Amino acid sequence: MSLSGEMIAFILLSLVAIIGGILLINLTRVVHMVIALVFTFISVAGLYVLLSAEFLAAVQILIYSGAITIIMLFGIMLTRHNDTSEKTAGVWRKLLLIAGIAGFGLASYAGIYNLDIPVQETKLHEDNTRQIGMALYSDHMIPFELTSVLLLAALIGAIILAKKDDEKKEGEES
Amino acid sequence: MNLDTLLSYEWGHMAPEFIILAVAALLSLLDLFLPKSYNRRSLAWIALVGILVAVVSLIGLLDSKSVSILHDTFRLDSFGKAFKLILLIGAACVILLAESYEPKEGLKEYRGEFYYLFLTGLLGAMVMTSSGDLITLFVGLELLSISSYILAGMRKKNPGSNEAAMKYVINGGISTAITLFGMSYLYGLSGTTNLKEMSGAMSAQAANGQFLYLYGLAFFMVLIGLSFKLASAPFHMWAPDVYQGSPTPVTAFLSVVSKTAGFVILLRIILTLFLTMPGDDTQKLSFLETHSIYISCLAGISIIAGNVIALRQRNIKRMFAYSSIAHAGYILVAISALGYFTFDAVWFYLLAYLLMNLGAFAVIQLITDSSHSEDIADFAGLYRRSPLLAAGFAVFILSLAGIPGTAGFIGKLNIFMNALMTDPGHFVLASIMIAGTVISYFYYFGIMTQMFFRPAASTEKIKVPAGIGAVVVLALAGTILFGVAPNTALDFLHNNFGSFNDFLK
Amino acid sequence: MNSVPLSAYLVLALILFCIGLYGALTKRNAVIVLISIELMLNAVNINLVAFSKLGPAPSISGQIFSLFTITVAAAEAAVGLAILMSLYNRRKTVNVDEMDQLKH
Repeated sequence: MSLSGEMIAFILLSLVAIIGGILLINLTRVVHMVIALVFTFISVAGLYVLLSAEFLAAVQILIYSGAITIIMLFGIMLTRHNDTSEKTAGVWRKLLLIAGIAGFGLASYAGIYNLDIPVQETKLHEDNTRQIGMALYSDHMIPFELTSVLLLAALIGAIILAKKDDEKKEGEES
Repeated sequence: MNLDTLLSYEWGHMAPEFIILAVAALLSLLDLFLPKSYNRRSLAWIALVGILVAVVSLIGLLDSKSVSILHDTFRLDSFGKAFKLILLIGAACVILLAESYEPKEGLKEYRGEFYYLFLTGLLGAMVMTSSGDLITLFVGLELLSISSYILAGMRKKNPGSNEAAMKYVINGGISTAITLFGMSYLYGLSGTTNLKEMSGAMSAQAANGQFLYLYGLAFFMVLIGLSFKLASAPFHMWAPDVYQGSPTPVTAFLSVVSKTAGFVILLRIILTLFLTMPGDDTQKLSFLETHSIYISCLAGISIIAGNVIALRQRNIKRMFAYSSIAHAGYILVAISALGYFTFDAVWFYLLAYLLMNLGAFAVIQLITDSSHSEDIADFAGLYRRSPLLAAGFAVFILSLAGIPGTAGFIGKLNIFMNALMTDPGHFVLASIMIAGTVISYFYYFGIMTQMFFRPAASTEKIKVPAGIGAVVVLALAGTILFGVAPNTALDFLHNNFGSFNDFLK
Repeated sequence: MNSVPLSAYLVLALILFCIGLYGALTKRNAVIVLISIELMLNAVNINLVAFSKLGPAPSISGQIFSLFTITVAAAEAAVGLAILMSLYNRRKTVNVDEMDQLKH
């Protein structure tokens, strides 16, 4: 198998993605973990470009490496910003979890590692954004409108939950 | 697609959803613009009227043929109508409970949000009942979940409520991700998000062993993800904490509306996709028949774990959380013993469960609010303090325990008969069900002893607010009516929905 | 013409999903748990987009599905964080293990 440019790009991007994930697990400072995951998010956007989903790549960068990372950083800063995530979870519990997840991973791997499907010519890369727009506003209009309700509910909920009640200094309850 | 095609769809069949959406929007605007001093409690009555109008419009649609809008992203078939009816009735009762809800520290300015977030959650659940498209089902599920997360954390001054909401978000998020991972395989291998086309593609591809294996994996991921939402063991660990910490009307909402919606989406996905797909290379049995043993395991574990752990609970809401886990197990028995009467059994049980559980939660809300604690001992001497309330609560408990003459008994009997009648009969499950029911007598009757034979801590009479009184009376009437004459409900089901034969069409 | 096979993308998604699941179940800081869940959802998106181009029946629906997933994930993260803030205001902790008030 000769290495094509696409293959090289894929290997690099997926290495960055996986390293970001592993750093998330292994770093100790909370802020560093979030930064590590930004690399994963960006390289996933790169993978979307390889898969001719340019619009999604832009969305991925805007929303994941932009919005979500920023609010997570805000969350860390507003709470205990130099927290280190100490690990004291029981060894047995951890081993059990690793075994369970590894079992799940292997079971899935057995199903997909040689999933060879003849590649078909697609037109996804031609006017990608236009195609998405057409599909979104025709076939998928109901879920699209429903998403607006969902975002509204989330917006209202986030405001009322995160707002500090300033009237009267919080009387502690039992 | 142009405007004409868009307008040619029969949008009138979405009337119940539109009404709920409009009322939720109206309430949010009213809540925003009404003066601060205005008592938001009256908004609950607007919400209630909205739900009742939606019920009326749904009844108006009962005898219409099944309708599909935009490639099944919305489809109103008899399955959708039947379960939407349950959801609407449940939500109406929950709104009544929420109207009279008065926590110790007060809801303050958040009362308005409290009401319309129930409506957005209800909207999500309703969309889940009538959609044949994976994307729409997912968005509906998330609309319900996100509204519930917020509702659970609504008592901001109460550490228990905050904690419950946090645990709910984390567990809900993980289960969503697992469900979605399964769904991504379902979409990927079949190449469509439409359940009907997907089912066709799956049957065609099942001859290929690798595809079959992957569909099996997807089945497990979706099943595990959704059983988090149903709170069936062994994925139930969030339920007791969340039920205990949430405001009581929200607990009622989670245990009735949310659970019903969970069963609906489970039935939709699993039955549409896996009932017709061959289960192995020999193509004799369907996938669901060869794999129903896993659903049976979930059911058995739920019944045993729920009932046994409920025995040692002292907190009434926590006890009801475990009891609701056990009830989810009973309904799973009906699903795993798939037969001709499964839909009837599940529908009837959910209806009975709605009535008895909401009635019980109405009384629980009243008692826990007045005594500011949730210990079972608060029910001591309820009979002296308010004989009528005690009698009502006793009926609900008897129904939950499954004593003849109540709706709960008929529901259990239906499921039991269904489990025995299928071929081969599910004898093990049926006996687990009986054992579970017997265990449940201990804790249910523990509450009864408290109410009738223990001296009361205070002799103060209990004032019953209108909303709670209405729910108790309604639930009591339903529980007894469907217990004594179950045919009223079953005939209604058969006359209006037939045998759900447009489900897969 | 297309040198990267479908299975490579699927395996990558599976690895990220498992890392996310492990993080969500073992990490004790609630922010990190939330962001691990985002990683799991990202893995789902890779699956969807890969299938939408290289699957047995390529279609745009996969990209649409992942758009919805991204939107919902963002909403979920916002709500999760808001709940975390309100919890922190009350309890001064973001540690999942210290959330043990609701026990018997």
